[in-house]
Parts: sequence; structure tokens; C-alpha cells
Amino acid sequence: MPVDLSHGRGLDTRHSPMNGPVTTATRLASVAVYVPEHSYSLEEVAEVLGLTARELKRYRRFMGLDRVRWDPAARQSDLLVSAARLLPDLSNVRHVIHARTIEPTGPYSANALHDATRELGLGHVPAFGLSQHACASGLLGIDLAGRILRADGDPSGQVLLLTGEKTYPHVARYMPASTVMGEASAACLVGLGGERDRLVAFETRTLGAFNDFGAGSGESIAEFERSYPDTLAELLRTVTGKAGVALEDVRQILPHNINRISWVRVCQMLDLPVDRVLLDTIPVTGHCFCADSFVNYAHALDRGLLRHGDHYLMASVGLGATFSAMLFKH
Amino acid sequence: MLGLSAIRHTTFGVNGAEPDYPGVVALFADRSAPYGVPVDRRQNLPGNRNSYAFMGAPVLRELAGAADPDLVVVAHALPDCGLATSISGYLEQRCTGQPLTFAVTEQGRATPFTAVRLVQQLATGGYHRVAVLAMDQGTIAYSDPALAGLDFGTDHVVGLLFTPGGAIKAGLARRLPGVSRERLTSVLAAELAELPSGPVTLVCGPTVPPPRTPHRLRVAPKDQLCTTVWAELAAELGTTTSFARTVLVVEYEPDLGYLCLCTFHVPANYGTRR
Repeated sequence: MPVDLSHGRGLDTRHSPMNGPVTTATRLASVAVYVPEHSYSLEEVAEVLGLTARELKRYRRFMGLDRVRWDPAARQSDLLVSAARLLPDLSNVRHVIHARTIEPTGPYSANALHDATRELGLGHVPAFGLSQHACASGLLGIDLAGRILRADGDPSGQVLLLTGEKTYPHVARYMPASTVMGEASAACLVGLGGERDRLVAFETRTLGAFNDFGAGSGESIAEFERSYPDTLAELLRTVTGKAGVALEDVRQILPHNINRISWVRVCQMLDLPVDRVLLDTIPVTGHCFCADSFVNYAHALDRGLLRHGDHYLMASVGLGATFSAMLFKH
Repeated sequence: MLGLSAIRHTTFGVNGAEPDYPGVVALFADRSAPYGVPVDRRQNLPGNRNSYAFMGAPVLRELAGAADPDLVVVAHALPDCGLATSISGYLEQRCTGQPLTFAVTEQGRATPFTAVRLVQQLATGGYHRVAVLAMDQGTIAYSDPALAGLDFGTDHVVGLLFTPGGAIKAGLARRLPGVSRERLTSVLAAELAELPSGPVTLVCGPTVPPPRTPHRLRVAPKDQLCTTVWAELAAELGTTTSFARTVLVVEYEPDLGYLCLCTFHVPANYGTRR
């Protein structure tokens, strides 16, 4: 299935006529994604990332990776602003969270998150970075956003959840998995109440045995890769089971874009057809830190893959190693 | 609302294991370049080389004792040096209760207030034994004028444990954004006017102009960043008084314009073990 991600897009679900009475359930009120225009082939980025010819062949043939979107001129704050500007309305934003895979964005005095909030006219809104679930921090951010809003007792308030990061040559050193990192970003307004895109269940599990993913931890990484499909499959069963939803009744799994083969293995474990996982964007954007689930959500809506009442899953795994899955009702 | 049941301030000198954290200098060189901040790629990594994971584990163990927390929120404003280690994973390995662990960052001196507020809010969702680890470490590969005056010869962790039985009741931590330096004194004065009657101690961060107040005042030192006011709180709570008192912790993050406040109600004859 060809994927047109040449332009950013904003998707507004706030005014759905299907919204029911106000409840306090967490929901995705709006999602916007920014996908940089510059598309690079694996060959073009190989030298920067230190990929060998053999790895290139393996990445393309087995991992489903092909191209990646980068915005070389953009700073970190530009990526966040580019996504958030596509949202229709920021007037109800009470908090801003940037869910991050890797923490530092630059020197201490250059605070990309606050540069972005000021540029968005949200300098008066408390904003903080959220991390330590690596690429799964975005899903944690959705859950926290809902909890914060409920605790605030402000049913009309929203949290602006930002995801997406600059990639650098050194990122490959911290990403031992077979993947290529992209710079697509996402901005998600999390709110309370309503029926559409309602968070039904969330599960997260950290396997601390894999906390060290640095140099010299090759055996640990190999063990992590061996346990990955089982662990993720079990988590998907758990989160759906918790909600009383059969996994085969889940319309779509919106994955993190680590690579294709890892999802094929998970599907084998679950006895699910591979097309249940939306893998279209892997060869287009690469793995975009915490933004993948949102990029794939936007793509699923573009393709008309989600219908009223459908359940869908967002799933992400972060090095270190945190496995997270969220069940939504569209 | 959970009460504060323990607070510990722990300092760390040079890490005897001398971890070299490969790749950290290159990481900061790459990430600082767009901002025109030079990083010498050939340098030996300065500082004590205490990662947040390395420091957090023993403090959490001492803080929580035999009963591990079910939620741990790490608060740090300065970057970590152990970027190849997941703090969540590292602490999960050292706790029996598989706590939900995550970090909040990028709020400078205000960061721990956000962490405290989050655990207070999340406690309503089923977490009953929650810890905040506020940390400052100084293994940083570049020099930044914004960090001038900090003492990187010592790294700091302040751990706070909140439980249902915690004797020190805490008000919800608050961050007031949009407070300019010009408005700071008047906004703070308005906050102080709302304090309950009775003995009060103010624990103020070093960027807070000392308020005109009849209350007892403690000012935290300038050589720490986000831990300083919490270390001062630990010292204050280590003193026992024969009367109940209110302790108001006040910090100001000048770059963001956040005024932060958190109130603790300390019963008479309470002596928090340090």
C-alpha cells in the first residue's frame, strides 16, 4: 500500500457527532503529525549512521526498512512546533509534556521544549519532559495526561503531548536494534470525556534485566531480542484481556516502527495475520522515537482503517526495556 | 492525600568505579553544535561520573526500607551521564515490587515540584507508596554560563517517600507559571499572606528574594540546582520541635518564570530520621 506522507496533517476528532455524554475517560482529542519532506534512501544515510553494505542489504530485505525522513535544517524545537501548529486549537491546553526517548536536547541553557511552547503561544502553560520509558514514553504520556486532568478536576482542559526527536549519528550507538531513526514528530491533544478514541486499557512492563544497552552489552541485547516477541505478545494479550476484548477483534495494531520482522514474529506468536499491524510507514519514515504510534494513527485514519466502535492498539517498546500497549475505542 | 513519611539527602563524591560512559562526549558535541556551544571531543569526561541510576538505587533502598514503593518518579534538571542505562530498568532490578518508574525533566529548579505534584495526583489512581528522587549530577561535557556557581565536586540526591501513614501532611505542590522577576516579590507576598496561623518556617531557594516576613527563614545554598531546596527541607525536618509547625518550601525558576510552592504540616515532636 503506497503511503503519502509528503505533507504534515492535522486530524481533528473533537467535533465528532458520535461523542457521547461527558465522562472522565482519557481520550485523544486531536492528533497532528509532521513528516519532513526530505526523504533519504538507506544508501544515502549509510555513511552517517555507520551502516555496512551487509547491514543495508539485511535492513532492506528482512527488516522492511527502505527510506527515512529527516529535516536537516530543523532544530528540536522546530520539529515540535511543526506538528503542534497543525492542531486546530490550543486554547484549552493546561499542560505540555514532551515524551522523549533520549533525554538531553542540547546544552542546559538551550531548552527546546520551552522554546517550542513559547513559539506556540503557550509560554504560560507548565511544560515538562517525560522520559525513562525510552520509545514507550509517548504511551505513558497519554496515560499521565489523563490522570493529571482528572486530578485537576478540569473536564475541558487538555494536555498537549509532544513526541519526536532529532536524530544524530550517535543515536545509532544507543539504538542497538536493527532500525533507522527518523524525524517525524507528533502533537496530540489529550482530553477527558467523549466516546471517540477513548483509552480503554493501558499496560506497561519494564524488564530491568535489560537496563544496560551500551557498549559491551551484546549478550544482553541478544537475549532481549530473543525475549522480545514473547513479551510483547503477552502484553498485547494482557491489555486486551483486561478490557474483555478479544485480540482477534482488534481492528488494527498501530506499532512502533522498529522494523517489520519483529512484528511478523509477534503476529506469529499471537496467531494474527500480519496485515493486522499497520506496517506501511516503516519503509517511509523509519522509526521516529516516541512519535510512531501517532504517525500510524494518522495514517490509519487516512486509509479509512478505523471505523466507529473499532478497538485498536498502540504498542511500543523502549530500550531498557519497557513494553507498553494501549487499547483504544475509536 | 499521602503524607511524607521519610526524606533523605545523600551526597556522592567521585565514583570509584570510574565508569567512562562511552559516547557521552560525542552525544553532547553533536547536540550542542546547533546552539554554538563547543564541546571538546577529545576531553576526558569531567565530574564524579555518578549516573542517576547509580545514585538513585541506594537512596531508594535506604528511603523505602523493606517495603519497596509502587511508584518512583525521578526528577532531574541536569543531563544524565549514564545514557546507556535505563533508570527505570536499573531500579526495577533493585526493587521487588516492580514499581512504575519514570523521569520528569526540563523544568530547571522547578522539576522536583512537578514530580511531587505528579505522585500526589497519581496516588488517587491506586499508588500508595510513592517515591520522588530529586537528583543533581555534574558530569557534563560542556561549560554553560547558566550553570555557573554550581559545585560539581559533589552530586546530590534527595529522596522523599509518601505513604498513607506519613506523619507529615503535604499540600499539593504548585507551580505558578508566568511569574516574572519583577512580579516575584508581590506574588510571593500574596502567597505568604495565605499561610495558616501558627509557627511557620520558610525554606527558600537561592533565587527567591528573601521575603519580609515574621516567619523563620532558611535559604538553600546556591551550589546545587534542583535538589537544593529539598536538601534544605530535609535538614529542617531533621530538627524536632515541641510544637506543630508549617514548613513552606519555595523555589523560583528564573528562566521559566515558575514560582513553586509546597506546604508541609509537621506535627509536634516529630523528628524525621535523616
